Amino acid sequence: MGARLGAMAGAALSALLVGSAARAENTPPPAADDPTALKAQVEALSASTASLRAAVSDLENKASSPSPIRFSGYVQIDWVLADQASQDQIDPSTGQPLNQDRFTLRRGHLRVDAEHGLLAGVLEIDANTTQGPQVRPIDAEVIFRWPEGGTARDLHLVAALGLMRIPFGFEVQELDYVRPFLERAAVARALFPGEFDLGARIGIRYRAFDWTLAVMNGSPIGDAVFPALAPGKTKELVGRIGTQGDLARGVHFEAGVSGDTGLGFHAGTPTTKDVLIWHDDNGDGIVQSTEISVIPGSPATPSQQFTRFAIGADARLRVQIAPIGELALRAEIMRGKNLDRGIEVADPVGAGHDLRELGWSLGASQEVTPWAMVGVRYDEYNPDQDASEQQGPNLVPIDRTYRTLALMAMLRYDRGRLVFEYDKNGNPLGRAANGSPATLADDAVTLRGQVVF
Amino acid sequence: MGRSCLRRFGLLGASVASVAWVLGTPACWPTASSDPGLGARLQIAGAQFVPCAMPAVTAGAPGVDALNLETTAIWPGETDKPLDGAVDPGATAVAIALDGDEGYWIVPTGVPDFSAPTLPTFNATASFAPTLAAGAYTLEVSAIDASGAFGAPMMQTLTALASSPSAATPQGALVVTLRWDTESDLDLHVVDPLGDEIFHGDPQIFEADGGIEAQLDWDSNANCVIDGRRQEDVVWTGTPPSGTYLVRVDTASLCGQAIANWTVTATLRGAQVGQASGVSLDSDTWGPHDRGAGLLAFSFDVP
Repeated sequence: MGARLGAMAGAALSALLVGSAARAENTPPPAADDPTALKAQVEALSASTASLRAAVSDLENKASSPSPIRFSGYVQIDWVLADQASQDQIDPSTGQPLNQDRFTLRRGHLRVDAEHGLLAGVLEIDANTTQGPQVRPIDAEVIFRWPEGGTARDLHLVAALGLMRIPFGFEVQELDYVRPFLERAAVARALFPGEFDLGARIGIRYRAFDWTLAVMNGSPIGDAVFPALAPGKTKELVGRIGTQGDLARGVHFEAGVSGDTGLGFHAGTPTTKDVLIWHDDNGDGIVQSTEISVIPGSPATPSQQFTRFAIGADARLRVQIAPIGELALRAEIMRGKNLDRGIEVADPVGAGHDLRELGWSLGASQEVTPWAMVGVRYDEYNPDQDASEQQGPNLVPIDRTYRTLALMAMLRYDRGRLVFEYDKNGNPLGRAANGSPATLADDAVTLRGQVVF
Repeated sequence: MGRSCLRRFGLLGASVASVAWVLGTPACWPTASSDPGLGARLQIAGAQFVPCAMPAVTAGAPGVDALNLETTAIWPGETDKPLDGAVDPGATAVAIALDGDEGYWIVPTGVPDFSAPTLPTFNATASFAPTLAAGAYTLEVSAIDASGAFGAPMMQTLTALASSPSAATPQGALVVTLRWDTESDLDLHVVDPLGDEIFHGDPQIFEADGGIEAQLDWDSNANCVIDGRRQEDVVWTGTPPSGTYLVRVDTASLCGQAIANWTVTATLRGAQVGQASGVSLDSDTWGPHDRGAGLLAFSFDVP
């Protein structure tokens, strides 16, 4: 770096000296026998040299000082107008309110970017009230980039260390303030909750192709059990290969395939003592020997690890339809094993079998003038394709699929958005009259205000 | 222009209100209700609550063959009451309700018992609301087939006691009782005319011959180990000493609760001789919680 600065300074000095020499050549030479003129010329050259030195010093200072720090961010406020799952009750098991019809600071992000030559740094903080007031780091990276500048068709290399987006699929990496729909599809929220994990990544982009490989802890910040921690020393290997290009004038295509492999963690249990239980079966308030039972203690059990993986494919097509606006079509599919860390946490040790996950989504959004957009997305996610349950004398397979049809309408102005979304949710959490799994009422209507600064 | 805007916003508001009303309407079927049934008098652990009256009986639908309860006595706040039985072949679920309740519960059927290998069984664990009034109730259990048809219900009369037999206020010549409403750790302190103080740290007063003169029956929610009882009693089974008694309420910990509303009463030979109510706040947890601690609720005299 010092050599580079020195070369810059040398080049500047040379350029100035050459310029000065050129100017000197244009000046008529003084007569050799005129000491007064020679003295004046020497003084002029001395002054010019001092000026050049000062200019070079300024250039060196500018080159060695860091680039200005850039602040940015966005705020998303949700108003849940109606939610069928909402109840004016407290969840007896968690103590949390069941009411969903409320105002929520869904995301409030403040981001600081700093760049200096080949190096860059990012720190992004998220504040939200989804589970009460919370402030947490969401993106913190030390980045090395090569080359420093360049066009889109150059070879680019990026290496980063820190808390970063998991390089899997399209929707996991889509920025929250850019995504037209309020939230990601269920499969993305299940397999990659929080979208950010600690690790190191290297990315290469050459012309229309990009390749990213990351080594990560395997516990994203939204992990339901060990958020942003690492219960095991084995790292998760995540990567994506993608391509993009213009198929025709105004038609842009993006696609990629992704993979994730690593080890999950089944927590061991501590030693427990024998416990005596009295259940007053006959309701007389008196302890009888037949009403006493013992829950025997057990020794501690060790934690275990299990294999897990996911593969995925994503595609997006953007078509400029004049004069209405852009039509964006999106499709994504993910296939996983034991990787659910957000919705129904996968633990094959406890379940007794591997949990095969499958999820996909299809969506379309259409700009309607620069000030409005409408969109629709349908997604499905099955956290256990081999699920079954006892129904009468038979063990029957059951469908545990979560389904969401999202209908979105958006108004845009400058850096602001007002999004209205109706989510028609299907799930396996309820019971029909005949005892089979049925959708537990969970449709929701949400209004979101967003501003980016 | 202004009127047009108002009309548009009015239509938008009406549309939003309509959607909100539709989403907020309790759904019986085909969508299962998300109401957890916490307001129902009967609650079944892990079952689906339906906030509607039980449908009419369908002719030919399966019936209930057996309904087993340990006892027909129930009481407010009773939990984990086993309830099982068997239903006709073809039944895939049972509906369980208490007459007059705000809904019923769906429980899927399970594996047949070896004694009746053709009959699906059901198992449930029932709880009863703390507000359940004493009296007679009818428990209804209906079998449901795969098409959702309800069979004729089996009825069972249950008798609700005023309180749990094991948690009823103990009997004695003098009883001082503290009750509170949240799962926090409150302690009852009673000082007798001789200056002896009964509380969780010194729960008994002994007579000269070694017998127990008075005692604290239970240290409820001690150290925030929640037992749900929320009641403590100091009882003199024999003749209590004459003189002035002091009754104090100490808030050891609110155990994460915001407040605790408490009531303390003193009953001498069946007649109430003192009563006070109050609210415990976080500031009441400050300071020591040993002998002499607590807020003076009231004093009373025993002749």
